[in-house]
Amino acid sequence: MKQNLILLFLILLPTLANAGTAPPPTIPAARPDPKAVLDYSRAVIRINCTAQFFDFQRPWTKKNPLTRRGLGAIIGPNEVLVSASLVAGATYIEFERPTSAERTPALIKHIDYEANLALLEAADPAFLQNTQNLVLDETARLGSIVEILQLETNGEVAPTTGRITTITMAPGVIDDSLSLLIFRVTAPVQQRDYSFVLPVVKDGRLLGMGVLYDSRNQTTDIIPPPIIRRFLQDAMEKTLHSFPRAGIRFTPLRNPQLRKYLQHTANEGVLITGVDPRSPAAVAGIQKNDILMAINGVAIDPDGSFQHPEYGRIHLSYLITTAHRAGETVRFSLLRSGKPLEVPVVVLRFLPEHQSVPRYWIDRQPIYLIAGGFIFQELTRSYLKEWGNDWSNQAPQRLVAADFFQKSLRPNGEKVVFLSGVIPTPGTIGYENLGGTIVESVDDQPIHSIAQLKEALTTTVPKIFKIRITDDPRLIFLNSVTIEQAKLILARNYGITQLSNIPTAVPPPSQPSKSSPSPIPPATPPNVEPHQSPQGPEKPSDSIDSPSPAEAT
Amino acid sequence: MSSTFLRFLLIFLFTALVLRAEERVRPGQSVIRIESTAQVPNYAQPWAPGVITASVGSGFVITGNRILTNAHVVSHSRFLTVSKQGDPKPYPATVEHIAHDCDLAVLKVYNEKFFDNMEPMPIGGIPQLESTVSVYGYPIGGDRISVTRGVVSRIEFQAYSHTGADAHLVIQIDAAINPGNSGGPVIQDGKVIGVAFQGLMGGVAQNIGYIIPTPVILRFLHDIRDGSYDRYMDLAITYSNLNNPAARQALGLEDEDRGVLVSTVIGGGSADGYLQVGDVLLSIDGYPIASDGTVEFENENLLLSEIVERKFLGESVKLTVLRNGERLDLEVPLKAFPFQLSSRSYRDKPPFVAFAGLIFQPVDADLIQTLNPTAFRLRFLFNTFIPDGIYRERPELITLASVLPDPVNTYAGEFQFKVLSAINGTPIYKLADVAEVLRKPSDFYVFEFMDEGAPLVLERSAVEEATPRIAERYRLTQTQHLETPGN
Repeated sequence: MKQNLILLFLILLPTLANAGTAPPPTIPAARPDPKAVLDYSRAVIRINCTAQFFDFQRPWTKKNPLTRRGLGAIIGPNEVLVSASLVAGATYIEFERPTSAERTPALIKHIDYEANLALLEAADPAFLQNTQNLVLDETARLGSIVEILQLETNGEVAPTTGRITTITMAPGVIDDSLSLLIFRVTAPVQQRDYSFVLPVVKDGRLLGMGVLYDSRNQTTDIIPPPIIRRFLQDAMEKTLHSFPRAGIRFTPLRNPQLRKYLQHTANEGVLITGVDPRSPAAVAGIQKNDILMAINGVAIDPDGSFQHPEYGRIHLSYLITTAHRAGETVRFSLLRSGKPLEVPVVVLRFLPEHQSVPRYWIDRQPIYLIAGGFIFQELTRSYLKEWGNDWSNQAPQRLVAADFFQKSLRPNGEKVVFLSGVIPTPGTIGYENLGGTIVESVDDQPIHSIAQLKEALTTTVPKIFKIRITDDPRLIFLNSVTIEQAKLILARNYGITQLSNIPTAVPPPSQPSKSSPSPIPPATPPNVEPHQSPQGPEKPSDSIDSPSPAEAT
Repeated sequence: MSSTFLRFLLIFLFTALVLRAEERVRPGQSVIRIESTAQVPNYAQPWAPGVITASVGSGFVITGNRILTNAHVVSHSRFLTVSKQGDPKPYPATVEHIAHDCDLAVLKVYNEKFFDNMEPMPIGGIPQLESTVSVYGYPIGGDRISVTRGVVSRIEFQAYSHTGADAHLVIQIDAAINPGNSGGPVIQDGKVIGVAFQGLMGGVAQNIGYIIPTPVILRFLHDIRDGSYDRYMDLAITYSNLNNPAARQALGLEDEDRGVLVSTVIGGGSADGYLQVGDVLLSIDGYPIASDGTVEFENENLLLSEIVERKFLGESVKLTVLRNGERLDLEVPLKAFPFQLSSRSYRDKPPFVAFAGLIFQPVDADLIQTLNPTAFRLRFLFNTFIPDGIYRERPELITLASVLPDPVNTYAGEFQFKVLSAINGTPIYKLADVAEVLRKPSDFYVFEFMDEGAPLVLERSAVEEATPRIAERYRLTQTQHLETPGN
């Protein structure tokens, strides 16, 4: 923890006007704050972002471009903080000066979809001269008065004053499997342009980025300083080591009858009900039915919360995801069959690509293969979300089940290859209406990735492949000759020339199961760039391994 | 010349009409108004007797002093009366046979005098497309008979909405069929050619009415001759069209347009042990099967299921199958579909087990429709129960359908609609298992559910204390209802 604070100071160092001695952790409100920004109009900038997402139904194309506008917080020389959701899928980003409306192209310096933060820079560093850098606030608590910044059309700052009414862990906007700390501010924010993301300030310092507005309750969810600090640390190191996980699932121990049955007399601790296969917790030997009593000595109550000195009762995941970085050791105090047990767990960040069904697939082309008109893809949560907010009921139920039950269905992280649709060709006659069904095997050989499917559909002599799928008709047939013929039809009649997107290096699916469980990602040393495939591809395919096409290299 | 001819023609037509009218039986005399008082069980309180409702439908007299109507007119009925034109008196009646799977029922009237001066209506065949038919009945509850006319628009295999899971032959007509018309005869040339039973709701279609055609009616009347109804026979398979050239080549099919692919064979069904996934069905009872699953049968192009539909328990069907390139001739004895959980049962008392305010029920179409659970695991298991063969492991899915709140079950709410997997370590495969395990006293009752999570634990002492209290507070008049196996 101490080490982290020092690191944090190092990041902030270049942003300090007169960096001499280490600042005290909190600054009394009475004393004038030398780092406070008095004129907010010099510390915010308009962002125009054009984004274009891959069309998961037609993975060879992108959807129509759309524009998002938000306000960035200037936090360093040529460093602008925004939310990741503002610039996700970006094809072109612009900075625009609030008053003069002068514009310049901008680039993504660092992005973290799980923290929902991105750091931008102007292509021309001179553009952000004569601005003021916001320093992160450290004083905000429940009840603090804060200001949400918006801009009038003429560029004047229009602040809305509100109060922090909730401090809690909330599921991420992009990745809802990870809950991170948020401050919830109650304030009647007006509908204005450039409000996709809004800087929130307190006494001249940056409190966070407002990312989610609930108009009915007039609340704004704000990504607070502890999360921003972690993100900036990653940005400086060009890594993704913050927000690690252990891979446990637990259930409250509120029910006294349950506690009695478990012979657990203390009114504290939670019951561990699941350990993700191959996760750090699994590697460390944590087991189902262990009772988690404390993390790093901090006691856990029967609801799964702990008492944070500043924020009050907070969900225990804070002690893992926010108090630590990937590669660090977290001490779990357990009770196993009534006996205390201390288990050190080396926590790791869970990259979506290591999951059977990746939680999000943004700024990367879907992995797919068109063979003879059949569109095969690897399933991602982003694909399912194409069915809208009610996707779990609207999307093909077979695919939703493959996502929801992936840990038990595919504990080794094998990919789900499914038939997403059919482009009619002479080879697909009779199969036009198929879709939403999972590919089990080709010629009785199980299929766990698109790369494997491609290999299985490769032949030197003409033959008919028998493809087994999970739903009726259960068996479909594909002639290798028609695969070749269809290429021409797909190009000439449908204008589809990119018939696949397959990452070059894909681990063979049998590999993880051979050895004893290996963590996710497989033993990432602290200074390996996690966006790189662990196998080290010689020639990374165009967009699969880079976080964003807009990223400068 | 021409005017004389015209005059002659007019007279001729007029006479023809008059003559025809005289020939015709007077349907008004034989069309019956049926008033049913029903008690519909409440799946949220399976021990309670249910809500009492009243409804009006139609029916008509058939041979043997019986009345034919729709099953849905008399479902759950507790008290039935029938009345006829020109006689204000309601006659109490009873259901003699009811067939939910084809939405037909036969009623008896206690007082046989009811049938005095009444003619049974003759039953005809399948009408021609575009020919005119008349619908008789008592729509929208009126007490005078109503007649509407329409033409036959389509004859096809269609879903019967009464159970939500059955499909048989249906005739579509363009006469409106309204509530109350149900069970009424549809007449052409003085003969019944169908029973009005359902319409198409919703904004898109207009003037679409569906009637049950005579093959279905006659099959029902034939089936009940022995005094009981044995349901429809079913091969219990799913099959897929074989239009794909690669599929045809791979399966060794030379001709252009014959055969369908067997995709699922349902365990315990007629074809179980006879057919295999990947078989190609070439013919049924000698009728060649086209690649879209149709057969030429009685001058109609009908789905192959229609051949099976016409058969009865104890009969069999001859199939010619292509398996791994070899032709096989099979004779498959027929049974009804082995599962009923996907069709609405119209049982009078829902099965359940109540324990310490926890209400366990089997998951079936009735429960899904009335309680509408959103739990994904439960819905997915229900939907894949038959196609994925879940039944092989567990004949029933048991869920915690509701909780009657009490101090004993304070923390049980979060378990609602989870699927029960074990109690006190004993696996649960059907509702009877729940009753069986809970009969044995135990210090703790530990309920484990599918998917992760802590078990639901109840202490014996707390359960014993709570049981009379819950029974009293929630008027729990019964602690369990188990169905006897069989139909």
